[in-house]
Amino acid sequence: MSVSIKKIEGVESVNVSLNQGSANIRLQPANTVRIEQILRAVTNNGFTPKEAKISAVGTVLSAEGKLKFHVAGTNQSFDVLFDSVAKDISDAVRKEVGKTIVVDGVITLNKDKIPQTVIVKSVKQADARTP
Amino acid sequence: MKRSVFLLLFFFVFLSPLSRAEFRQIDLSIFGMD
Repeated sequence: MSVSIKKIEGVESVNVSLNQGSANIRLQPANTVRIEQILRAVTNNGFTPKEAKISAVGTVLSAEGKLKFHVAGTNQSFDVLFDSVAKDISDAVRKEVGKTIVVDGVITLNKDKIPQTVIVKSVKQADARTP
Repeated sequence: MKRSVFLLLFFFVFLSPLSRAEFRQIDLSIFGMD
């Protein structure tokens, strides 16, 4: 599985731990890797992906009262959700609508294993790439 | 002239950050072999 993921253009490094049931994937700057590519590599190797903790640069957009997180480099959008107790995060995200920010969160898959929502854990300015 | 300056500013202020939008890190939870 590690080799399959590493072959995806834009992947910088992969660290798979079968004991912990996790795959840590770092991506190169200005990559256009879509999360589905990673999920496909995992399933093609006989494993089943669950949720994915992500750090991504993108733009929060608001439409009809709903927030969406748009990752322009991949042309992907995710419905934005918050933990039930994360009022501070919710307010912080709403302040950043229309701006390019870094979002740390969890992408959950729907019943068809398609990534659909991001549960936002934290946001920060997108002016510097953190290690 | 003004139009060129505006277009340049537009590109650097708006389009450049968007074109950098990307995933930086993905920590995926996985089940074992099917």
